[in-house]
Amino acid sequence: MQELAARVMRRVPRAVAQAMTLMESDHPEHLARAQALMQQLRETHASLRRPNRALKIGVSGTPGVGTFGVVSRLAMHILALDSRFDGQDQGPESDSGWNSVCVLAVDPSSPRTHGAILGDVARMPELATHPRAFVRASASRGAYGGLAPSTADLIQVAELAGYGTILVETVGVGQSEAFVADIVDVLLLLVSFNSGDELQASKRGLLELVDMVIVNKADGDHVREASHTRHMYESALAMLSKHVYAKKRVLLSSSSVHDSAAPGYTDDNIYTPETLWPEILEMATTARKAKTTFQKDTDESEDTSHHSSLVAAFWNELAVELRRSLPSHSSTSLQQILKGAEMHVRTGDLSARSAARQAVQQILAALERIPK
Amino acid sequence: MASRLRCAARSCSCARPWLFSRGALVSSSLSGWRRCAFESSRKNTQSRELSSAFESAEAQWRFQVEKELAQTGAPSSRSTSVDGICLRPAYGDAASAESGQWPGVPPYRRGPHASMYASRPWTIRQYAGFGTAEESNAFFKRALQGGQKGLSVAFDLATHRGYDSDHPRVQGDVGMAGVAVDVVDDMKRLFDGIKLDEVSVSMTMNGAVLPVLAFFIVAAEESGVARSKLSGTVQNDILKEFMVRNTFIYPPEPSLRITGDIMAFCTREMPKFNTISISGYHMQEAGADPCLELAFTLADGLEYIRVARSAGLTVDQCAPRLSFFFGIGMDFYVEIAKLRAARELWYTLLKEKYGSEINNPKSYVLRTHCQTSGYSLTEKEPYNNAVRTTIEAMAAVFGGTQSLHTNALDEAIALPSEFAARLARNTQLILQEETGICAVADPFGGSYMMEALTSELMLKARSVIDQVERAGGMAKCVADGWPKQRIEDAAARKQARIDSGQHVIVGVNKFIAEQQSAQSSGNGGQGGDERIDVRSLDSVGIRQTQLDQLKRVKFSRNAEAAQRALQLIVQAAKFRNGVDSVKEGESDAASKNLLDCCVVAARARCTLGEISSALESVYGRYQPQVSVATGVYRDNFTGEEPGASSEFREAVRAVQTFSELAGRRPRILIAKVGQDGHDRGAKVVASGFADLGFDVDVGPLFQTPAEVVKMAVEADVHVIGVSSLAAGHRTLVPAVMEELERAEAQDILVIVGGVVPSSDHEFLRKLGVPLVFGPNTRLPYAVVELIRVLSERLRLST
Repeated sequence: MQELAARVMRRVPRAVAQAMTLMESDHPEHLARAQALMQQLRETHASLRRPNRALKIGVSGTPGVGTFGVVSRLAMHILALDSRFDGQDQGPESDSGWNSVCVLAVDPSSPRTHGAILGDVARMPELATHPRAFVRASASRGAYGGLAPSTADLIQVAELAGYGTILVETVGVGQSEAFVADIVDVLLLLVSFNSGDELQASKRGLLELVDMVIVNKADGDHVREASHTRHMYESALAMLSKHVYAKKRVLLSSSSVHDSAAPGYTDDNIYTPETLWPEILEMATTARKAKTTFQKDTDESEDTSHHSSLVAAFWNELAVELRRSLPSHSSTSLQQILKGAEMHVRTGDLSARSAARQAVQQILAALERIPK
Repeated sequence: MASRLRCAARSCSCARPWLFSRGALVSSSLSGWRRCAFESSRKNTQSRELSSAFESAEAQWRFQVEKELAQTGAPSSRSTSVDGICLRPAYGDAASAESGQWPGVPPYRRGPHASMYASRPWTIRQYAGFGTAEESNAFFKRALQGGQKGLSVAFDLATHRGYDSDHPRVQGDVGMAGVAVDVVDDMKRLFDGIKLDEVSVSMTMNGAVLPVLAFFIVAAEESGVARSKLSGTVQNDILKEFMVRNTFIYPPEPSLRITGDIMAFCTREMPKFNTISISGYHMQEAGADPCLELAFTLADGLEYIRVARSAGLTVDQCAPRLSFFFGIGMDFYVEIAKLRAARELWYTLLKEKYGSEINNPKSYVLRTHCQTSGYSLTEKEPYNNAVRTTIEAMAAVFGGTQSLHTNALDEAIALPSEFAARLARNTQLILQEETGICAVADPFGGSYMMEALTSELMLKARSVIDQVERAGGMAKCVADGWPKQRIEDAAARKQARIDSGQHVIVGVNKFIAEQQSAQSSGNGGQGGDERIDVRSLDSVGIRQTQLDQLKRVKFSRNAEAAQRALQLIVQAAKFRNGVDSVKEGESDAASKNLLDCCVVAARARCTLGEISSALESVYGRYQPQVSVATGVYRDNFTGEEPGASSEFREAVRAVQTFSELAGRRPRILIAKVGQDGHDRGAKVVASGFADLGFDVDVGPLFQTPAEVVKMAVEADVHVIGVSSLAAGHRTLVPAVMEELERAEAQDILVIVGGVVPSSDHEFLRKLGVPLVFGPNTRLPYAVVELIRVLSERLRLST
């Protein structure tokens, strides 16, 4: 275990990958080992006194908007920023700034077959073969939202291994992007150039969480429409509560290979993933500060944002863990409660939500009855 | 009149009596299909089509038959084995006024020529060329002696992708699936002693078509043959590369511009050379059904006409030089109908779109090459493949192909051996010389079934073509990727139907030979006496020869001239990239034609890699988007065969058990190593494995062993599945194993799937590859085997 931890800290790809596998495992025995490894990593990390924290960027987008293209080009740009490094990864000690990149991608598992197609390396071959990039896809395994159940742990492993920039790519913009928002420094939402009109109330919840909306594929014939979409998102953002900490922005981005000047359709600046980088960096720094103060204001806790994201991870994990372990628990009274609730849903007596609520209340009541 | 006919039948050598038999040939049974097939097109085509010189389609046909037979000196009728019964070049309804009734007459459903094979049989054209230029040269000479009329050159993958043999990315690919060509001198050695003004040469080249064609022109020039005398075809069909075969270099848009430049150059300078061979073959090989193949191929054809027009050519200049290329699978009737439908559909499309500007009737005629399906060949009981190929060849002939390649029976296992290649050629010679099939054009014409099937296919394909055209043409659609997606879905469906036994393949999923079903797992076709000798190549030696030569050429050439020539290419590419030069004066446009520039570079001994990277510096190198269908495989696995569905369930169960014991799903990286772009197999396996419960990492195309290992390590997969279809396994798999060792990841298992001769299984096993799956492996079986081996390795037990 100690040896694995040491190799992770030296950022040996094989070791980092194996540590991540351990974090992902469902096997009960692995759980304890994963905990031990994480503990070991933290201790080693503390003793090494590494100064920098990783910059964590979340990129969300529904399939087809070109998320992987933006992630890939952004990462390649970050890697190219420092020309001193053109060979092999020399380990964390030789890093400067953000110049080693870890990409964590989450792909959906099929709810029917449980298998998954993890196509990320195929979609970003240039990045996947870059010596200073580490690309790891995970299957969502039916966890909520875009995040695989253990993504928080994976991010932590990557951070402890000393990757300067961690990009988290998620698909299926939806229910629980809140979790991503908490765990990363800056969250980008990629939307399609023609999605302005379908901007519905449901998406507005998501807009509260993201720091930057990027209207992608704003090239050629699409620029006019993209510009329209941008305005739709801006006005939607303007209606968000004052409570929100930093100024959110909506930018246009082109997916074309060549830097494209705006061809007269719009006055908006059209960014490429490369020119987006300074904007993201700036947003991340302000957002990181703002998030911390925001947390303090609202929670009045001593938490740094780092810890708050761990707490968020805990709540997510708790939900996943309950889902996994309750059905197979040996307590007969527990099974009675669950089976009863299931039956109510099946027969249509109760809605899924009411049944869940009722079941939780019954379980909690049972807990109360346990003598202290 | 009737007595005259009888007399003619008795003595076939007498002069064309059947030409006077008008009316006597009427068969009352023919009216049914006619109505079904032609009712709609009748009124608008008939009157305009028949030139006023002919009173009927039959008269026009008779006139042309006379002409064609006179040209070749062929007899007007052929005797049969029955004394006194002769066959005429075609049969039809002479009284009918309908135009489609006769071959060689619009709309050409029944054939592009009036007498078809009676005056000249189809061209036997075997695709060949392996290893070095010298070896291929010897192979060509033998083939020409053996009765072959045209040469067909296969290039190696490095050449296809625009890399010189010394490029680090192509280590395992040099000389593997064809001949390696780096400089013009390779081309000269390839055709040494062959008279290029007498033999037609067909070159399968799409991506690096500019340097290869330039080398061909300069090689001929330096052996004293002017470019105007060269005849043959270059495939030059880049659209289908983006759909299925993936041997492109540049993005779609500049690639099509190159196509246009080549068409313009050849029209100007090489009148006997066909500039493009529009290929459906590769689509069918990739899993497209015949209708999809037909539709996408013709839609490609329409796009190329537009490309030619924007390069300044008229339809009459380009259309007669288009040739098509279809695959012929085992669906006998459908394949015949496909070729018939293709001709009529092409005629109709051109009539509608360009009718007003076409003056040359040849512009309407679709001429095609065909190849029997490689996909239909099996690794198990390989001798069955000779039978399959024969049946497919017959379908191509009944459909009216102009030239044909018959596959060698060992192509499912390896590159063809000398013996298998001869047998394949003889298959065609037997059809031509022994069967009498050549005597009659379109023998299926007039069959109720065949005419109805042809019309149905036309209708179905037409709706797909219309969909493509509405979406802005094939170039746009290819860039969007939906044709690729449709073909891949079709491939996954087909695999599921095979695995579930709905689609029978004898020896694979039904009537499996005893010793093979009993044989131990994983070693595919090693079925005792079924073993056949296959050809293997010394890839290291071939590469060394090429490297030495590259060094020599680069040392001895005029470096300055070479640099200048490359600069010229860059400038021309930039110019063509920005402004359309077509409207300028002839000479100006000519000086900027990319092929012109490449010819200059070829003379200056610039290498293929240098020319390609000069173009790449302007256009960029295209990296395809990989997407894999999920659920398609499972949805089609309805498992009517009870044995098949239990195998499916067993596989799902095995994966589930493994997942519980290991703490995660089994994870596999499906890797395409080297420059082989055929990814149907890899994708079908990826899709199927995911549907059976695996987490499947799909690797990009064209990876080096080190890159594959990096991805496998970071994803921490249990297994790397290396897909090998171009004989690269002998070099690339050992390289992958070495890289794994370097990454301290020897515990990651490597398995191989694809075309691997059984003689190489032992070689791979010694390397530490426990499982090798051939082309016809049922996926659930592969999964069960893999899980068994994995569980042993990881010491997992219940």
